[in-house]
Amino acid sequence: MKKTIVALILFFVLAQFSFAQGNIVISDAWVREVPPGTSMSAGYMTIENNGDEDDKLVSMSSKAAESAELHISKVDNNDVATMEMIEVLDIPSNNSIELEPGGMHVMLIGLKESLVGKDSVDLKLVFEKAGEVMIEVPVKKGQPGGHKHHH
Amino acid sequence: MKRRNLFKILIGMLVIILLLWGIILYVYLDQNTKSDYYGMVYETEAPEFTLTDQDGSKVSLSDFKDKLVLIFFGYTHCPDICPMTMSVMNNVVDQLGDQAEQVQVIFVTIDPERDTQEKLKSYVPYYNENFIGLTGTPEEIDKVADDYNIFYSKEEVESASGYLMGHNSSVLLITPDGEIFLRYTQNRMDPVSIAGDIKRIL
Repeated sequence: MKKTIVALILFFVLAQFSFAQGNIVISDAWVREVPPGTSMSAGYMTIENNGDEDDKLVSMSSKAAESAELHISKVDNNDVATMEMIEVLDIPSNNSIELEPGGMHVMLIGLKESLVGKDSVDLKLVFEKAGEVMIEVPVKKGQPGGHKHHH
Repeated sequence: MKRRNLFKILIGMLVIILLLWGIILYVYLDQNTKSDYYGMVYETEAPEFTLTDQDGSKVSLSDFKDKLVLIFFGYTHCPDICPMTMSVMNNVVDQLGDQAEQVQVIFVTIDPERDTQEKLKSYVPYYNENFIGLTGTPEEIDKVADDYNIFYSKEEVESASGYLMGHNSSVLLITPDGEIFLRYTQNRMDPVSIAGDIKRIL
């Protein structure tokens, strides 16, 4: 009973927040097309906070993948590349954050179907203050240049 | 008599000085032409290896004696750096036109546990049908990576991805006569400049 009440309260609180997303603007979003059978891909975008209040990106998900996480690629002086997970990303007021190849990216884990030939995937970003932001992210072939395809 | 000795000593000194100048000039000019390359000059003999390609055939470095080889170590569960690098390689080959036939791109997995031959078959040709993907037993991969000074390690992370790999992500350029001549680190991934190096070497 207690749990249901908490869940209900949470639901209403979250539902309210989900409308207040005017300050967060997502632009230049794209997801990398990866070879068929590949379970992982990465999404990139610019997240802008036009509000006067700092916000935080706290979680994300997509119907196209089992789960979605924010990761950052790091390359050290010996050119060893590693990735670290970012639990919470600060989006300071009147600032924008770039998610770009070789840097921060939304990691789509466990792709449910091949991205080849798909126009876009859905992505839900959850911000602490702005709430849920739903976007359709176009699937694009990697930069730079085009790919030769296996026919 | 004394004068003659002094003369001999002076001539001797002059010869030594000229020789030194010659050596200094040679080293300077040699380094200068090498630093003209976009890649970092590496100059090590490329160790021989034999691994299994995406079609199940055994492939050795010595199979590509007349070709220039670009070799890169990565894994297919890598969502960011590896696809980027594979795209760059495809772009390099595009820049080369007819000379592309003299170049072989090789992707070696450092995650043989998950990257089976079948996995590589769907992954590697997607970027370019002429690229070769190699896998092997964990011991075989370990040996090749070690021979090529490619560090890699399994990173157990609190992530739904299972595990990720940390790995040296440089592309190595092996000349047709079997020398690792240049190394391209992740901050040297401009396809036009890499193709420029290759055109100069071929």
